Amino acid sequence: MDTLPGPTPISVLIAEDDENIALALYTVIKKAFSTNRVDLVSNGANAWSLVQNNIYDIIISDWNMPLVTGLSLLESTRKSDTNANTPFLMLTARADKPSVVSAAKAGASDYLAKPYGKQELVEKINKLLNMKIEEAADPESGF
Amino acid sequence: MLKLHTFAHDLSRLREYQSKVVGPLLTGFLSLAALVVTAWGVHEYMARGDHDLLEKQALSSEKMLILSELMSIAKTRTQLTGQMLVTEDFFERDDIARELDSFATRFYVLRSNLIEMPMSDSEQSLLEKRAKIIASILPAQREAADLAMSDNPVDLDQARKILYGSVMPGQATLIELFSETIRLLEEDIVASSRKMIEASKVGNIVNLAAIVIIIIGAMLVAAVTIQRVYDVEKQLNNANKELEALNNVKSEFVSLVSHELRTPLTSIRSFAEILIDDIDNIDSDSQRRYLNIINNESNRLSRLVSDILDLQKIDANKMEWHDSKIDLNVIARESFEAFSGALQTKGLTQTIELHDSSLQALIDPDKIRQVILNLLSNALKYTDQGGISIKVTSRATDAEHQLARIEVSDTGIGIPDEHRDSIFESFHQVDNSGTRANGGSGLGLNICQKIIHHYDGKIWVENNASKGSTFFVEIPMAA
Repeated sequence: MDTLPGPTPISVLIAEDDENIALALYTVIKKAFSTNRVDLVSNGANAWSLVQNNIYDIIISDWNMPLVTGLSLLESTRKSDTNANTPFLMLTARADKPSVVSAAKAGASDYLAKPYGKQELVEKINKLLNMKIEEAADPESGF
Repeated sequence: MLKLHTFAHDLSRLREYQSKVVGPLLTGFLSLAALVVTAWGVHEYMARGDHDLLEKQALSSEKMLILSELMSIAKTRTQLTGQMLVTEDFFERDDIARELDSFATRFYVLRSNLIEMPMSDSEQSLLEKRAKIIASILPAQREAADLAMSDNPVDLDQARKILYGSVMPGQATLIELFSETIRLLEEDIVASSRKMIEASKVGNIVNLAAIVIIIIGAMLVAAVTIQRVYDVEKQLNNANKELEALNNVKSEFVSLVSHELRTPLTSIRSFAEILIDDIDNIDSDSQRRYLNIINNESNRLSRLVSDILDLQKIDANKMEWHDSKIDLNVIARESFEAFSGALQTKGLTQTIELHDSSLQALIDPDKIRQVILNLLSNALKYTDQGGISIKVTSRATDAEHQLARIEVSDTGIGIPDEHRDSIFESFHQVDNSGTRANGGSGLGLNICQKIIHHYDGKIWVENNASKGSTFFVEIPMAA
């Protein structure tokens, strides 16, 4: 089954304070997807200002970031006018149950525990993008 | 930090607390037992007093019975004698005489019983009076009895004369004396009864006091015991809380370690996979860049692992300290020179100020070098402009003791006041991104602090008046 989301280029926000991991995410996404925009930020505050002013197809964020944490970013994003329904993939180096539960409660679409594999990352992004397409096509969803 | 060995210590403390309860409990119950025995003794003593009085009463009663009988015999004998004198019939007189004899025998038996009994002085004097009367009336009585047996009316008259003249009044006196003695004994009984009533009142008070004392004692013992148990429970609770806190610290540390391990591993894994999957399409500059990241992150991992092992060794008292007398000037200079290249590359100025004479300390050179290198490395990381300096001085704390001081100053970003103490904790980062970008393990200052504390020294940081911060290390100098 071809999991690529089709020819429509996607816009992605990556919020990750570890610059090496951020670079790896950028490299993998650029390679695996057709993108028209990939924004890279190293803290939650910068991420939040971008979320308020842009509509993304997917947001990938680290949990533990300076200034504004991934969880706060997620909570604000879900209340925003721009990206309330945007798939949000949470990356975490703490894959303990309470963290996962609080992320799910705050509205995370999915999470990835570090150190994840490249394949795993691509599959999760694909799954979330497809989910968004299906939701948009579903008249029950209200759109 | 991981202080598992303190758990054993805490457990032995718990046992000590438990043993603390047994002592006061035992003392308390022994005191209570002593109180009970004392009270019982007092009670027994009182009872013995009662017993003596009762015995005296019984004796008096017995004497009264004898005296009553003696008195009635005396009365009967007087009556019989009178009867004998008015009886015409000789044989009847003879019968009465026999009866009188038998009464006389009974009288003497009772009297000798009475004499053998213990008696008071007043009883004794009454007895003597009675004896005199008896002695005086006895021959008269006998004479009268003998005369009464005669058929001669003259003799009978004589007998009547004797009887009415001396025996009867004697008997009356005797009876009076008996009554007096009985009254005396009655008074004795009444007095001793009163005494017993009084004593029993006192006894009741004593008993009541004893009961009150026992109750108060028991309450005191209970209070002391409860207080003790409460104290021990509190200590146990505190110990438990300490253990819980230690456990939390341990969990937090494990979680932080896990976090710190996962981060570099993510980079290593990601770039390794990027290179493996697509090496032919990646230009050589990017390949080099990715490989460098893998290399740097691997180094970071191995530093982290060795730092964790160092900390664990120090905390578990398993670190080997190869102490020797060394000159801190030398260590400071060597360490600073090691950074010279890196400082030059960054365009930072270098200042070194050593002590005039050698500063000897008994210390493991590798450990103090590790501390100085760590401080210099931090200074380099956070300083982009200006320079870094090292200074070695000394100061006397008293006539015999001197401290060596090493100062590492930078003109970097400085340390916010609220972080001045916490930066010495494990994995504390003033700015996450900075530390990570610079490849610190987050354990360096924690290890420095533990090393300096091992040598009874001090390590702290102060912000400079102008810019950046200064780390101070003070350690005692060798005698």
